[in-house]
Amino acid sequence: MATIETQHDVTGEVVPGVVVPTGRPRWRGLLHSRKLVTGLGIVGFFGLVAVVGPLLVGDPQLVSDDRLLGPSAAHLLGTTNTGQDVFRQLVVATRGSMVVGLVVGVLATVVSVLVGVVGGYAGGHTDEGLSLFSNVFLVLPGLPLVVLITDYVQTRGALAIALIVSITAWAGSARVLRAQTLSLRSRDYVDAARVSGEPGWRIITFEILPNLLPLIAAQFVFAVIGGILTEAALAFLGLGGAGSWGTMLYFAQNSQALSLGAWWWFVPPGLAIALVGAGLALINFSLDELINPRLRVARRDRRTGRAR
Amino acid sequence: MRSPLARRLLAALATATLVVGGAAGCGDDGDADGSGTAEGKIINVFSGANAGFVPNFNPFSQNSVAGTHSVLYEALLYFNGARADDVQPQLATGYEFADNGRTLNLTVRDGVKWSDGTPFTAEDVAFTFNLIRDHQKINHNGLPIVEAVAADPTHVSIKFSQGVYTRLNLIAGRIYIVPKHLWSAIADPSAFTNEKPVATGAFTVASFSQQNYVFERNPNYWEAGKPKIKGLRFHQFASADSAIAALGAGQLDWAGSFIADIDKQYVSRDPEHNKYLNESQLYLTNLIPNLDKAPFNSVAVRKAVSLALDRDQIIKLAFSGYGKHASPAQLPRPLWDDYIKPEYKDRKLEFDPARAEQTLQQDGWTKGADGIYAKAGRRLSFTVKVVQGYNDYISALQIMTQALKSVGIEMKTQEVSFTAFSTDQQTGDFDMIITNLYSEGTAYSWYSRGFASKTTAPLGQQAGSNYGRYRNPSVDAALLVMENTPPDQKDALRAELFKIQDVLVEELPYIPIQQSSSLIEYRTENISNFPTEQNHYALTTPYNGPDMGIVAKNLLPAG
Repeated sequence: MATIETQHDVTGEVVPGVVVPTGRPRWRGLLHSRKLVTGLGIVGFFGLVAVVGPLLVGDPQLVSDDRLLGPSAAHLLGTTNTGQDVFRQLVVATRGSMVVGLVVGVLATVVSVLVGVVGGYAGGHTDEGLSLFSNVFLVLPGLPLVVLITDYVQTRGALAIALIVSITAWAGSARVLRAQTLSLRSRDYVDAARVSGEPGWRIITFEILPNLLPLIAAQFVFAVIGGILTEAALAFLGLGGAGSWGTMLYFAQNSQALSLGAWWWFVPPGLAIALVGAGLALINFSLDELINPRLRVARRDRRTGRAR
Repeated sequence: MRSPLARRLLAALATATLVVGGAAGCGDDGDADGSGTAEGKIINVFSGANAGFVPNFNPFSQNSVAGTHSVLYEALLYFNGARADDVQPQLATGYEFADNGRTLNLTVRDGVKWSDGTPFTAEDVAFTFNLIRDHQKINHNGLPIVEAVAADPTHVSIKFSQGVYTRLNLIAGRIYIVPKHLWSAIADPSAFTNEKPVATGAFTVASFSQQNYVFERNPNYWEAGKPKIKGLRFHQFASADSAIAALGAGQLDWAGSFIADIDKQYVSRDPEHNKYLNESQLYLTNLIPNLDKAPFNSVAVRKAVSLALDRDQIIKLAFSGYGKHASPAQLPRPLWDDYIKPEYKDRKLEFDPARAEQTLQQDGWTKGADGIYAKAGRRLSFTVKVVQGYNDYISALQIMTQALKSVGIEMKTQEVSFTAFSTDQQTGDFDMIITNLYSEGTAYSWYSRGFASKTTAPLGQQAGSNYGRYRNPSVDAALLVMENTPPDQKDALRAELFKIQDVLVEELPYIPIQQSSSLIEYRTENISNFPTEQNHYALTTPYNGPDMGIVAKNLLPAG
C-alpha cells in the first residue's frame, strides 16, 4: 500500500502527491491504459524499423529508368521521378527522423532539467538568472531562428540538425519543471533533509527528481514530437541533412509530385510523420493522466458497464 | 539568381496556400468591350515572382521588378541573347570605336521623348555613364569609364581607361539610360527605388500593388507602330504548383516556370494554344574540379570521370529530359555555333566506362581490394560540394556516384548552405563543385570568366569567376588578342576562339554535364508573333534583361 497525499499548487492544480515508496499502483495502472499501449505500439514499430529497416532494404538512392511508377509488386510504394524506390527511401528516412527526434528529446530534457530544477531549487539570483535565460529562449521565434542558424551551418548531418533544433526546444519544459520544483522544495521532507545537512545536489537527486519523473517523462515525449516535426519542417524547406521524411517531402514537392499526381511519393512520408506524432501524443496523454488525476476518465467495467 | 533560401522558404510556406493563393486576380482585366482581342486586352505574365511585389523601378538596382529593364528603360543597342551577332539599334542608331577601343562614339536617336514629354538627347546618355562612374556601387560590371561627353544632341563620346572591344555588349546593351533632368537630383542612385519611373520604353507603369503590377502601351513610343498589345500584367504565384495550375487554366499568356512533364501537365490541356520554348543557351552545368589539388590536377583523372558519365541518363532522370548535351568547346549551342570549331560542333562528350578504367590504369592507378583505384597509397576518392536543396543537382550527383563507383572511383556528396558554397567556391575550398557557368553575352566572356588566369586567385584567396583555378598561357594569350580586336573582325576573333577550344578539348579542365534549360510557356490564344526556334528574334525569358522588352513590343494581338 502506498500513502498518497493530494496537494495543490498556487493555481489550485492538483500536484503529484508524495509517494511513500511501498510500491506504485499508479504506474501499474498505466499498463492498462489503452492510449499508452497504442502509443507505445506505434512508436515501437517505427523504432524497430529505424533500427533494423535500413539493414534489410537496398540503397535508397539507386536510380533506374522506371520513373514515376505507381505501387506494384516490384516497387511496394512506387518510384520517384529519378526511378528511386519510395519504399526503400521511406524505411531509411525513418531512421533519420527517429534519430533526430530521440537526440532532441534527450538534449532538450537534460538542459531543461538542469536549468529548471537547479534554478527552482536554488532560488535567489541563480533562479532569476536561469529564469531570464529560459524566458529569452521562450520568446525567440523558434522555427525562423532555427532556419537562420541551419542556413549558416556548413555541413549538416542528423546530429547537427538535432543540436540546432534542441537550441529552442528546452525552454518551455524548463519553466514547467521549475514551477514544480518550487512547489516540491517547500515540502516538509525536503526541509527535513536540508536541516539534516544534506548537500543540495543530493536533495535534488534523491528527494526532488524522483517526484518529477512523470513530468520529465512527459516533457521528454513532448520534445521528441517537437524534434521530429521541426526537423521535418526544416527538411521541407530544403535545409535538411538527416535524410528524413521531411527530405522526402521536399524532393516530392520540388519535383511537382502533387501536380503529377504521384501520391505514392508524398503520402507515405506525410502519413509516417502524422502516425509517429499521434503515437507520441498518446503516450504523452497517458503520462498527463498519471500526473494530473483529474484528467482521468473513469474506465467502464466491461462486464457490468459500471464505472469503476 | 534569387536567394535560394528565401525562394525555398516562400515556396514551402506557400504550399499551404496552394489552392487559395492560386490565380486570384487573373483573367478579368476590366475588358470593357469584351472583344477579347489583345488590342483591348492586357496580357498576363509570370516571371517567377513568389512573394509580394515591392515597388522598385531603379534600373541600377539588383532588386528592381521584372520589366524595369527594357520594358521601361532602354539601352543603346540590343544584342539578341538567342542569336549571336544579331545587334539592333535602340536608343543609339550607330557606333564606332576609336583610339584602339578606348573611345566609343555613338549616334543617338533623334525624336525620342521621355514618358513625361521631355525630349531625350545625348546629354541623358552622357549623364548616365558619368553617374555610373561617380557611383561605383552601381557599376556592376566594373566598366573603366573615364568620361562621357555629349558633343551635340545626337552625338556622345564615351572615354575608357582601357580598350573595351570585348565589352560593347555590357556598355551599349546592358546600361539603361535614365533621364538627366530627374536623376541629377538623386543623391544615391543605388538606394533609390524610383517608384514613379520616367523612361523611354514602349510601356509605362499603369498600376502597382503587392499582388500585381501593370504596364500599359506608351502612345508616344519612338518606334512607329509599336507596341501593338495594350499592356502587360505581372503576376506572382506562391508556389510552382499554383503557377502550373494557372497556366493550365489558360490564365497566363507568358510565363517562365519549370514544369515537370510539360506535355502532360500543360500542353495537353489545350494543344492548340499551349506552346513552349526550351531556352537552353544561358547556362552550362559543369562539374568544376579544383585543379590546384590532387587528384584533379591530373588530366587522366578528369577524363576518366567524364568517360564514366552517361549524360543521356543524367539529363533524362535528374533534369527531367529538358537539358541538352554540352559541347566540349564550352560554348552554348546553337547560339555560338558560328564561333565553334567545326569538328567540335556536334561532338558529344563520350560515355565509355571501359575506357575510363583504361585511362586510369595507363596513368598508373591500380584497383584496390575495395574496388576503388589507388595510386601511391592514395585512393581515388573525392567530395563534391553542392548547394543544399538544389534537388536536380543532388539527383544528378546520386546518379553520377553510382556510375563512378562502377569504374572504381569514389564520389561523395556534401550538401552545404548557399552562403558557405559561395565562399568555398571563391576561396577554392573544395575537391569539386557542381554549378552553372554563364557569360555576359559574348563568346569572349564565356572563356574569360571561366578559364582566364586573371579571373582566378591562389587557393585561399577569392577568385572572381574562375573557381576551378584553371591557368593556361595559350588561353590567356588568345584572350589578350581578342581584347585588342575590334568586334567586327569576326575571322580574327574566331581564330583565337578555336585556339582556346583546342586547349579545352585537350585538357578538359572542367567536366561539362549539360546545357541547362529554362522552360518558357506562352499561349497563342491572345498573342501572336512570339519568338520561335525558327524566328528567335529575342530570348524569351520573362525575367529581367534586355530581351524581355523586345518581345513585349513585338507581340501582336492574336487573329
